[in-house]
Amino acid sequence: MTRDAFQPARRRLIGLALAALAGVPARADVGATAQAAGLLDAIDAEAAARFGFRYLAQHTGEARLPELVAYLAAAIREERATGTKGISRLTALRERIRHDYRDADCVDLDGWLLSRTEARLCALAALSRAA
Amino acid sequence: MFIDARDLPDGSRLETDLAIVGAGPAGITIARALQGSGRDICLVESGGLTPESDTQALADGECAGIDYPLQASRVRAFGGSSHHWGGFCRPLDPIDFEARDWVPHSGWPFGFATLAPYYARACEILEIAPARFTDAAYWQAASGDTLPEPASGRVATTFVQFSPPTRFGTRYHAVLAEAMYIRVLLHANVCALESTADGRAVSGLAIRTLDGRRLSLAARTVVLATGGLENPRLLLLSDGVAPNGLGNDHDRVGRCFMEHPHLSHFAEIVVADLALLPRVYREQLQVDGRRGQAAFHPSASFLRQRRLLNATFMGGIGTTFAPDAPADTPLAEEQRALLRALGPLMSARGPAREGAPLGHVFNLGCACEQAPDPDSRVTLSTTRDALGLRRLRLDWRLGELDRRSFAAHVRALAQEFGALGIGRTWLDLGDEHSWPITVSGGNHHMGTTRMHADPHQGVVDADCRVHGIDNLYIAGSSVFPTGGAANPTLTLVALALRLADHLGARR
Ligand SMILES: Cc1cc2nc3c(=O)[nH]c(=O)nc-3n(C[C@H](O)[C@H](O)[C@H](O)COP(=O)(O)OP(=O)(O)OC[C@H]3O[C@@H](n4cnc5c(N)ncnc54)[C@H](O)[C@@H]3O)c2cc1C
Repeated sequence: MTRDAFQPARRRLIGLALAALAGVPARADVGATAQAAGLLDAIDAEAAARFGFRYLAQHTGEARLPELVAYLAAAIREERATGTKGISRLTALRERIRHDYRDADCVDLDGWLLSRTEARLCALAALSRAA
Repeated sequence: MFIDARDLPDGSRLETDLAIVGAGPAGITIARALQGSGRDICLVESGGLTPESDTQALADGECAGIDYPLQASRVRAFGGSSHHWGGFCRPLDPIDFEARDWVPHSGWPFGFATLAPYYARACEILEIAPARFTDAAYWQAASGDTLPEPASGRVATTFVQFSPPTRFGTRYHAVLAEAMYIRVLLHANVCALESTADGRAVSGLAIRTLDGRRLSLAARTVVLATGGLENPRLLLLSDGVAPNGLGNDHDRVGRCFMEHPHLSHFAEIVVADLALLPRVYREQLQVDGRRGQAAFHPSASFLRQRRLLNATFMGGIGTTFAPDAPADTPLAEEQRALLRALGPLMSARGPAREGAPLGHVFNLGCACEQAPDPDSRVTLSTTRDALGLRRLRLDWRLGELDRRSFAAHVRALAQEFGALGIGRTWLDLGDEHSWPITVSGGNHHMGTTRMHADPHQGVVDADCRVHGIDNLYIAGSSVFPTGGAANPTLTLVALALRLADHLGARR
């Protein structure tokens, strides 16, 4: 085992920085909504929303659809850049989530221990439904 | 040769070179190992060949701390608790032998390597040889499943092996019956160890039968092998010369009682794709005539880094969710929702085929290490048993480090399941600072005559000899200074073999 396994989620921090650099709009726009739909098409968004609302209740500052989209998009980009080339969006998300767990970057949602990325994906589902 | 003490005249005086008190796995192992050494051995056993209620009642006692089943957790008959044991076998981990500065009173006088050759022999005795406790490649080849590599570095895999289980009383009956220099004395309750006037040596045993006979057995060497609760009790009862009991000059006898706190229902893992959780993790596999199952335990580096105690987790599939069946509990409803929501992110298999289960629930059980605590202890009660002897009083206590370690390991395991893509974990840890009322033991009685080079800190030395007494030895898990998170019988049989080597050489 390497010491790296216990280090904070460096990749996530880079991802957030990238999202910030990308100039996230302050409110939902049409592009973000479309992107959100694309991110959610692999999962059952209705079921995910149930967990997403709980995440948003704990992290009220994150209830902004464009930022969540930007975060997730950056995570995917980063996985594609650092991991296997040419992987699908779903595979990249899956990989990112595994890394969250490996890096102990997790949240506790009413007893469920979920990766931060998947919790944010659920939050996106919740926001999309609310919208 | 078997002798029923009830057939001997009252007042009989017997003699032997080596008296072994207690014919459980420890006592029988030592007798067998020294068979043929030319010395006369007498194995003194309280019970008969099968459990009997009046003898079993002698195992009763009083609980002062966490409630504990003193009778149900041991068997007082020839073969000891191996009449009921489950056969789970696994050696202690190397880190368990170390002095860990975050675990008070930790550290064995020797390391894993010293015990390794004895573990190999113990596996033969327990009928699991050659054992494959850490050989993932073996289980992978045997099962045909690809076993996942650890992902986070916090959790490692080990393989528990299952003894048939060996019932010592039947498995080794014939060999003891035929042994030239071994006498097995049944229905013979040792009530006290008698010592020389200076208390530096044991001279023999005072024995009684439940039908009122009193016998004595003079012995040149005595091994106490009556189990982790009765070993300290007998020392404390032996107060003829030493008022605090034999070997108790420094008030160590009976202290540091340890169990393996067992818990279940603290976590449920929803699994979308069973292919990611190979069979050996969820059920016992029968391979080459041996049974084994994978268990999870914290890696040594994680234990060191987070300053935690050890633990072992094993699990099995509890529920399988049909795709469209309604959920029958709120938790099942949650689990189904989570599988629908995140299933595609767990499994790379793509859309499930028509009618395939929505997913499964993997239930976990845990056996934890408990840190030695001098206040968790065995003393004598004021009530008496049918022989007029003071019963034992157990004050089992668990501490903050024990609980904190458990909670940290459950979280680490939940993260590992996520990192491996196996599933998502629902946790119910309750108050993470105190133990739930449902905590129970594993019928493992450890630490009450602990081993330490310093007589102020232990009852026996590294050879299992009672400090300050030339010819009194102790066998069994009561000598464990710390108990790790592995079931104790394999280790106590290994230690019994090591003690037999020592006694053989001492002649
Ligand atoms: C239900 C159950 C399940 C278990 N499952 C497992 C498992 O899966 N894996 C594992 O590793 N361990 C397991 N154990 C524990 C295991 O049985 C013990 O670790 C093992 O039997 C201890 O061996 P021992 O020889 O030290 O003591 P014991 O087996 O307790 O034998 C002590 C013997 O001493 C005799 N004795 C006691 N007092 C006196 C006296 N005053 N005079 C004369 N004789 C006396 C007793 O009658 C008994 O025969 C289990 C125990 C139980 C009860």
